[in-house]
Amino acid sequence: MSYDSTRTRESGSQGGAPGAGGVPGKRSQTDRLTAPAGAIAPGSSTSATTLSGTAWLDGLLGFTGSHDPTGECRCAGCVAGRVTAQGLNGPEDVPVNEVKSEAGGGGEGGGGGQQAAATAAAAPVAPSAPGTQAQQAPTQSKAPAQPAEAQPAEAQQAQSGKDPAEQGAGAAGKAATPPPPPTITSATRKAAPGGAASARTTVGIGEVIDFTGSAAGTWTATGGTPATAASGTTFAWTAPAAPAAVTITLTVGTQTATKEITVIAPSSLSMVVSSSHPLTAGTAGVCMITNVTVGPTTVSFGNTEWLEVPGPAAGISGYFKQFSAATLYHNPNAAWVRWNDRNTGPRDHAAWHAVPSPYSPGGFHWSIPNKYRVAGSGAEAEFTTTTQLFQMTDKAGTMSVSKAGASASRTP
Amino acid sequence: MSPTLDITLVADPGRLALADRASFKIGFEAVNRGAAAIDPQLHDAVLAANGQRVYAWDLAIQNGPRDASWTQLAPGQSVAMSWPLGDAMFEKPGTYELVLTLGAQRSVAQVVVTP
Repeated sequence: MSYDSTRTRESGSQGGAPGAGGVPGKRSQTDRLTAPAGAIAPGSSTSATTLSGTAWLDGLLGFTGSHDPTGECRCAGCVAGRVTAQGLNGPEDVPVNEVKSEAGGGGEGGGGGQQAAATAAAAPVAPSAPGTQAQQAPTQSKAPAQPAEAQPAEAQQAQSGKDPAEQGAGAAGKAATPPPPPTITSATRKAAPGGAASARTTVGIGEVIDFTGSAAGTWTATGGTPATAASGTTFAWTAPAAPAAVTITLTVGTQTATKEITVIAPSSLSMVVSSSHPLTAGTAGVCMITNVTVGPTTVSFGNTEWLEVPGPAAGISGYFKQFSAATLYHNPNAAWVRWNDRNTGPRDHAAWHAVPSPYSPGGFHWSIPNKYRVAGSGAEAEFTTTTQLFQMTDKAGTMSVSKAGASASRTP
Repeated sequence: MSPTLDITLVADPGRLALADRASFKIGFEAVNRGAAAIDPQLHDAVLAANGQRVYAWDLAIQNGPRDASWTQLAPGQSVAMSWPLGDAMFEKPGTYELVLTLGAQRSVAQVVVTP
């Protein structure tokens, strides 16, 4: 037996006036029930497979035929129940002849109860989903008398208009839609003196970078500190003390985002004369005080220290041969000095304020290895060698000094 | 030089063998006893050994990287530096009278170098 839900509704379904073709208070869905051929058991008192108007209702209310609770009962009541289940698309105990809300009853397929309509509005279900009715019918027919409370799965099914398995599949379907992959942005704490943006991915040793993820997750770094971090959206990381290529990884669920960071060390020193000390008139000597810049300036070395390495003089000639090698040995500052965030700060003093007469041409130089290290770190490395050259150019005692691009000259 | 600067010659060790000159270090410690920051003018400090100017000291104190404390010494703060100048200062065994002079300040130390 089936319900013809495809035919055009008559006036009753549109709230038409009583007596205008339909039955007042009844919906058109109940106007015609068609039993398929063969659905009526042989010997049944029903003599026709089509019931029109309200004539069919007499038989239904009178429970024509005997009810068989143990099997596929074909009595009018059970038949009506099936029709209800199919026609209303839900298991609620809605009388067959109950007037339904137009809001929930409009449209083809007979609509559904208000709950079903509301659910459908919130989570539309494709009308072509064949499982919805196909699975409801047997559920309704197998246990029509059980209260909804005893069937939580069915209750859930009724409210959503879908069975639990289908809901699960739907939820799984939504979960299976992968969220957008995580992304990483970064900002260095210190600006690069050369003006590179804080989002730069080339940083100086010991620089601190703040990474931000598009979602909370766990962080790892193939170098620097820390190597790992607890779940979160931010990751404060300090670059290692030596040049490296480091991969920062943010893992969110099963997805990851990475950012490659290039860590570089100081590679150059440059000096510019800033001042000099006043020297004694008539005595040969030279002095320059320089501002020192460590490069490259595309990164910040504000967390880096500098040390000159001692060494012997070389190229000793003329006037300067009167001094022992030990006297001319280069003994610089034995303490590390720290760069500021602009890769400057320390000053270099290159001078010999007073030398004894008589004067004559000559010279010597120091080849000075320079070391760097992250402030407070034990690891150190050489990065460039500067040359400091002293010269006396005449018998008047004119002296000059040069170092890392800076120079000064003085005649007594 | 500021009268509030207190400078002390530091020589270590005070007695050493000639063969151990490389381990000898000489330097200074300067303290600002005043109430204001000063430039101690440390580059003007002159060291003499038995009355002879030590040019190796001049080159040491007048060359190399310096931080801000070298020229801006805060009240109560000190600055110190030393260098291994034994080879340059002690050519032979003997007793060496070392005098550090900075302006009106004078600090003396004695070092004995044995054969």
